[in-house]
Amino acid sequence: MFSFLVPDRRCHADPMFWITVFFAGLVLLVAIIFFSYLIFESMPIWEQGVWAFLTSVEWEPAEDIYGAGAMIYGSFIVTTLALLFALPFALCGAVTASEFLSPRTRLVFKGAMEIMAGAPGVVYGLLGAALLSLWIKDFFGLIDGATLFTAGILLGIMILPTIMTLAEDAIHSVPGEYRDTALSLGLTPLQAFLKAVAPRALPGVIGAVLLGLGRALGETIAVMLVIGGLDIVPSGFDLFSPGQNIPSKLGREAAEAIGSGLHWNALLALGAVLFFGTMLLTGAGSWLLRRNKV
Amino acid sequence: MTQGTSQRKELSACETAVLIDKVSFYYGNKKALSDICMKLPKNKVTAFIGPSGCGKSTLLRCLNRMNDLVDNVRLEGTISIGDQDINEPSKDVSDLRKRVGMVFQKFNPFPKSIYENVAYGPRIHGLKDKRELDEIVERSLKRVALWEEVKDRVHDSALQLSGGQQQRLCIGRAIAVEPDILLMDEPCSALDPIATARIEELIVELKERYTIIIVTHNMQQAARIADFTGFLFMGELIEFSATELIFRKPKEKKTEDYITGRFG
Repeated sequence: MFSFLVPDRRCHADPMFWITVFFAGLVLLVAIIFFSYLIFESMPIWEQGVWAFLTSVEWEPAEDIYGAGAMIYGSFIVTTLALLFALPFALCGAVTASEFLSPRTRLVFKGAMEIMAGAPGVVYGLLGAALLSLWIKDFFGLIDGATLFTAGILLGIMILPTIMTLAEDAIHSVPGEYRDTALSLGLTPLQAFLKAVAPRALPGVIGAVLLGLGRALGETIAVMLVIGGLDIVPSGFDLFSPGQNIPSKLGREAAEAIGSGLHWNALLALGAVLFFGTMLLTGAGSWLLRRNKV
Repeated sequence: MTQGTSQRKELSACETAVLIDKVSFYYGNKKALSDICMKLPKNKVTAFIGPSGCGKSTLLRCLNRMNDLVDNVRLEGTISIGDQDINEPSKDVSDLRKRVGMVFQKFNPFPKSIYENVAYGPRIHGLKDKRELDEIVERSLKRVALWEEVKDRVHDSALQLSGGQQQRLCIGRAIAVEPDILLMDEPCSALDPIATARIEELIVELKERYTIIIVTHNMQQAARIADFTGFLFMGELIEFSATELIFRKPKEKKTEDYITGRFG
């Protein structure tokens, strides 16, 4: 019955062994419960039509009409903006740190990046609400600085250090021989990077980007503070309009809807969408990073 | 053979390719090489032997300034190739590396085709003419005795080749940029004995065109292929002379101890 456990039966006699396995099993159980709850509780929504839920932009709890379109659109836009904003900085920073900084400076730089990457989202959110949204409001002459654009840029700043430091790891872990060989053929360090190192590091760098995106997709509080909170797909797809993404929607409405009927089911359906999205991104990201190491 | 042997014995009779004059090398405060003086003869195979950490690879990498990339290092003394001090600030290090090619321990073709690997260096240095590139690829692969084996599949991936073939390809890639000197850092240590024998054969052939300097862990290998051998120990050049002398009648006690396997 316990054939999935270590074949060496000698440890089966030790209670410590069973305690260890019990707690490990509990973790697995919680994961299963969590997952099933998300699926079963959102079932009433899926039964009404998956496609309709994903594309409709109407969200009216008073009339029990739920469509996730605006939030999915908002998540997509905000994440894309974050990516576009973060990518040039993160990649150039990663390349510089790995290839052109002395080992000591590199460590200082990496340390700073990792502190930034670990900073709580709410801190970014406060700075975003206090500074970024005002700057954006003034700079673009808007009525209000809480827009999809603001949320995108703020998320970009948030995921920048994550992507930079992971991409740097990926670049730095390309075996020295590739660099050396290119250099020994007379290439400059920049040429050596572009021609010999970059192609090798690419899967890992993409992995880093996907992990960063996963974080961007799931970030709640920072976005809530600057996105504006309107469930719309703005006319003309205006980036400088308030909007809503999935986590911010959940953060706003979860407390008032807990356990109550279709509204709750709809929020959990949103959660499931988000869950699968992040799972896909981080799963693909980790896979690429791992592959890079081999 | 007798004629060859008598020629090999005289270091002073050979033209000098590289002059190493009072070279000391530091990693931070740690002295890795101290006061090395050597004349490396042209169109000969010179081997550096010695236990791990003795500085033989460091010395080799001084010759094409690969140590430049390491942080916090310092070199004293001069290394000249031809009449030029290679460490002169005005000297273009890319030019130096074009003249001094290098082959590494781990064979490492780029994940490209066989053709692209060989054409890589010339192409980077601005050669675009397809016919010329074709010629260089064919010539280089012939020199490393790989052409016959791969001529029908030069556009296949280099990674499909066997280990020995890959290492020969790497040597071909290095000579495609027409160096005068080839540095080899334990080029056979990742290969099986048969592949090793082929590379050794190749090295002996290549010395007609190139000055070869090889670092090796394998004393038999030095004995088989090197005309001259330098024994390094803890950053010092203990003895440097014709290979036969080193292995048959070493002057220094330390050399003898190392050769006879008493340490190392």
